[in-house]
Amino acid sequence: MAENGVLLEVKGLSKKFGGVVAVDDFNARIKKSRLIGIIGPNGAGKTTILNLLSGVYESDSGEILFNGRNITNLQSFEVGRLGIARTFQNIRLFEDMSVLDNVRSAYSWRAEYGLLKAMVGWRGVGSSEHRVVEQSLHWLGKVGLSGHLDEDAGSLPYGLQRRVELARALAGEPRLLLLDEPAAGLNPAEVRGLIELIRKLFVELQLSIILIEHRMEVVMELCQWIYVQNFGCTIAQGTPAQIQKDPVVINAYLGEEFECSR
Amino acid sequence: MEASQFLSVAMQQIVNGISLGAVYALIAVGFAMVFNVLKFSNFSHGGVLGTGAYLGYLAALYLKLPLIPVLLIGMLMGGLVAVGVEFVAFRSIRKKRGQLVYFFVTSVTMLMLLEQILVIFFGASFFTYPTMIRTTSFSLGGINFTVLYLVMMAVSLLAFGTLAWALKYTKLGIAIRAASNDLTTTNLMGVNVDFIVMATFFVSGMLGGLSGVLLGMTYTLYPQIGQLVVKGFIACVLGGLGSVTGAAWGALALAVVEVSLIAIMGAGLSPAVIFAIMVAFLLVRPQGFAGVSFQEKA
Amino acid sequence: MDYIITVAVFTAITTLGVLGTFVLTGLTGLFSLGQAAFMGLGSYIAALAVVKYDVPFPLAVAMAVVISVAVAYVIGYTTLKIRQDFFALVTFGFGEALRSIMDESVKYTGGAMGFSGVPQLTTPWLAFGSLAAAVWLVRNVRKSKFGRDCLAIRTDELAAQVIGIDAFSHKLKVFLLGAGLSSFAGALMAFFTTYVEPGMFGWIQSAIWIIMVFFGGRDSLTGTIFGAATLSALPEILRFASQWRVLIYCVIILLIINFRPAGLFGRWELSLENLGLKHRRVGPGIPEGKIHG
Repeated sequence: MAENGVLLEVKGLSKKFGGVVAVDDFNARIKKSRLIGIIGPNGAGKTTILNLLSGVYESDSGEILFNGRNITNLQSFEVGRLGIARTFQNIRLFEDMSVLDNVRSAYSWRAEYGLLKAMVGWRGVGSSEHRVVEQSLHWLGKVGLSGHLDEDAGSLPYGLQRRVELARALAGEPRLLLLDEPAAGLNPAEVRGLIELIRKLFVELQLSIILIEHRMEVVMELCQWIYVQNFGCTIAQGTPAQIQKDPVVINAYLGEEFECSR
Repeated sequence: MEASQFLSVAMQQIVNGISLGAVYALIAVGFAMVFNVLKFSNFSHGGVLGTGAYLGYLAALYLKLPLIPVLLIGMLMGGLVAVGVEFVAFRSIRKKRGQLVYFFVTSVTMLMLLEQILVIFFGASFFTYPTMIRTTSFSLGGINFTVLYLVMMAVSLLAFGTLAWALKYTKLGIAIRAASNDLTTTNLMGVNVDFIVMATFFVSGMLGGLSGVLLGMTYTLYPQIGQLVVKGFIACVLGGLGSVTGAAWGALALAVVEVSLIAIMGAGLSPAVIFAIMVAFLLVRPQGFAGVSFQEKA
Repeated sequence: MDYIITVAVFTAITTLGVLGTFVLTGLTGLFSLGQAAFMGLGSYIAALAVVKYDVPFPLAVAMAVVISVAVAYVIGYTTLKIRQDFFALVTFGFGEALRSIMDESVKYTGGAMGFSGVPQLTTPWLAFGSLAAAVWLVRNVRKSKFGRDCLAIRTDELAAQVIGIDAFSHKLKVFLLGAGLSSFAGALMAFFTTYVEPGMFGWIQSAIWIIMVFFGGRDSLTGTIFGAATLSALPEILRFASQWRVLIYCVIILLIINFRPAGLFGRWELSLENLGLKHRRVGPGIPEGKIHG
């Protein structure tokens, strides 16, 4: 079990692609029920960090401890089952499946039946599915999507698709939620709605959230602590107020060079 | 068997293997080119091979053309057929950003279609190319050199050299390399992607047609000859999918292994053994000799 | 009349075999050129057991399925982790390897000429009954979370993994299910046609099965059955020469992919709701008619 309520501990996480260093020695200690932000110019390696945390990429070195348990280099489905859920920068919904089915898929691994029982049409399949539907509807309700259940996820407007993806991630009942640029492609009104939604979820569900964003209003309003990445390194970290005034951060966004301290 | 006898037999097999490997490499490189640009395995390459082989045969038999024009006709026809295939089978999927499985289905379909067309036009029996070269073989140091094999090797090497030069120094070649790297970005940079894809298929088809003529000429001509594209695919796997030089080396390795296997245990069980070797190889080193691995971007 | 029944039985057994391709390639998107090889394996094992070793027919069929599934396990376990292109190649190789092994084992099976003298034990009732059972089974699987996961993996394997679906394990199960269905069909087929011939089970046959699935609609069980039934039965009835038949299949699938990639039936399924005989339930309940219930 984790000490002092530390949910996620990352030590020396690094990843290279060919000759390019995407993430260089990322370190973090994130306690329970915290809303953390990761910002930085494009190509700074932010999404790579999320991919490493969720098991999509294998790290070159470093350790990831989740609830005290070493999850470094576990496969992504194992990480998902342990309680880390995520959304993607370019929405990855199952487009040809209905909205309801997209969310229901998150319950597959927890279903009370397997292939053999499914094959013979075991009675329990119906009731198991019924329960899953109810729970899925609960999550869809939480993100404000109670209609559109049967429509193909791919046919929905962009903003609603983002919410479906969020509902699917929440259906995993995670303890840590990773959001990769949730505000991308949203208009200002939608961004407002998103901020309120994330805040509401954070409070109601007592989740920890790590959020990558370019839209500063989202990060500054919601996050309690922010990591600033550039060229794979953490060039600064702190509260929103601290980050806004940090000259190193300002320089990074204006394009000046920064040498990683290693 | 005496040591010197064994050595000369082994050398013979190696020479045969290398010549065969050269042609397999031609197939493999043509295959790899389309893979690099469109990121899928183009089984229809076999159909192009077969068509080139038969059309070259027609040119040799009825037009009574000598070696070089026959090779050129095979190349040209191969290129044209490949472009036709791209248009009929792959273009609409590419435009609609269809899933990988659709590419597989249409490419296998085109392989079957072309093979069946050959069966319908030419019948199911074997053909032999008319003799294109007067000296059939000569001996050197106890090893039999079949002239046709040497021709295969020479032509293949020439084709490779030309291709490598063209890819590096011509505008189209550079464009194809760019497209292999990243098709979307190439598009965004104002390059006409449709044209590049067509050109890639044309070049790939030329290589396919050429290998078809060479194979048909050196061995026998039969409608299923297109299935030799599988050798090209295996060569690419061994070399590392995505690496063109790897494909060439993989082809060589495959040919030598195959020739040795057949010498040792006869042609019968060799598909089974090659299958087993392939599976074992994929378990141990799926990224091939060249060490190419693909990381999906999330 | 006799002739019609023969065609019908042949079609029914073929359709059963194609159900394997439906599950593997249609639902899950795994392109395999070896499904027909599993049918061949099932045929050979069952025929061998009865003719050479006097094993009772039901036991022989069971053995054929069990052994085929075991072989599928070995192949699947070693090759499902790799790229799709390689998987296609490996399944192609499997078919050819099997064919070469069958050809070589002349001592046991009659080699390249095939293996004849198999008693005709597959009655029409057995064939149709088996098909019905298989369809029921596949339909159940599809409406369950298993079917949903197939579609999830097919659409976006990475996203499916992230929500907790073990894609490798799932694909393996699908592969086993497909092998089971096709090998069972193979066993039935051997005892219907009374001979087994290696050439019937090559990659071309596997490719034709895939064409049948995509023709009818890879997302529609009804469509697949229709596709398999039409494309197997019609040529028999109309007496096409075999090379034209393959040509026509190829043209059909090219037309489908260019103009109606979802297949003839698209996602439509034959169900009481879709026929207007029963009301659709939406909300907490399982709506019929949509793919995954």
